[in-house]
Amino acid sequence: MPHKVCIQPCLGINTPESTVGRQASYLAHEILLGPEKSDLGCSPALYAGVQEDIDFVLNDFVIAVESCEQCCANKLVAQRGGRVHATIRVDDVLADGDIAPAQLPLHHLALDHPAVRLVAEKIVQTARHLLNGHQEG
Amino acid sequence: MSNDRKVALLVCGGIGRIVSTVVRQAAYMAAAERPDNIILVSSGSLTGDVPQALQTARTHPLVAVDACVEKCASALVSGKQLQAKEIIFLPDVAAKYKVSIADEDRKGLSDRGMRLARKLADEIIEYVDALSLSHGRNDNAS
Repeated sequence: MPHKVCIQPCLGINTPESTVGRQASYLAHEILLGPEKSDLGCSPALYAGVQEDIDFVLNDFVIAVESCEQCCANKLVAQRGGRVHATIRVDDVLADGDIAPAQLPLHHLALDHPAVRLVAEKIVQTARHLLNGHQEG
Repeated sequence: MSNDRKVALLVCGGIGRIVSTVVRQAAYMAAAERPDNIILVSSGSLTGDVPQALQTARTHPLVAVDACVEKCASALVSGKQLQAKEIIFLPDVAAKYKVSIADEDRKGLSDRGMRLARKLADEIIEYVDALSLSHGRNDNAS
């Protein structure tokens, strides 16, 4: 059973939601969960067949962080033989938090931005649920 | 300028390495300075086979930017049967201008990282301007 989660953001470039998802993935992976409990999956690297990224989706619990209904991370993980254990929709999380994506910058958000923190907290909550389920099981 | 002179710009858009952050910021800079000539194509959308992204990459001259030796943008170009007019390799640009980003943070670039992004954006714009011009000439000739 996995003892880590792979945070797999969609990595779009054209919407603020994808920028939020990217930054939230950094925050969750590097600071809130740490590398001992999480890996950070890179979609283009997974597509290109980089072994480390393939190992992440085959060996970890996979949390897809999607910015829209296209769910590109889900499709890619499935193509590469992995399984997505949970999906977080950034647009839904922002809506629940009354944050309007149109008000967010496209290029970059700091890790302490409320939108980034909100999505990162959702990733962490989901990761702990998956990892605790493993420990309880 | 007409839509016929638009160039599709695909950067690796990865998350694991600092260089991916550099190419993404360079893409935003170039697109902001050539809003009528550049359409950003998301690597994520191509991995998810989003029809609009594939259509854009197939119907416009395509410039791809690889950030590191894994060359993931090139892998997408070949894997999705696209034709790139130019492929730019960030380490070549870094070597050309002697800009090191060894101590940069992938979560957000400092002035030095943004300086390399600026150099890369200039290279991208050079290719985009040439492609836009030649595409426009071809349109006029036909």
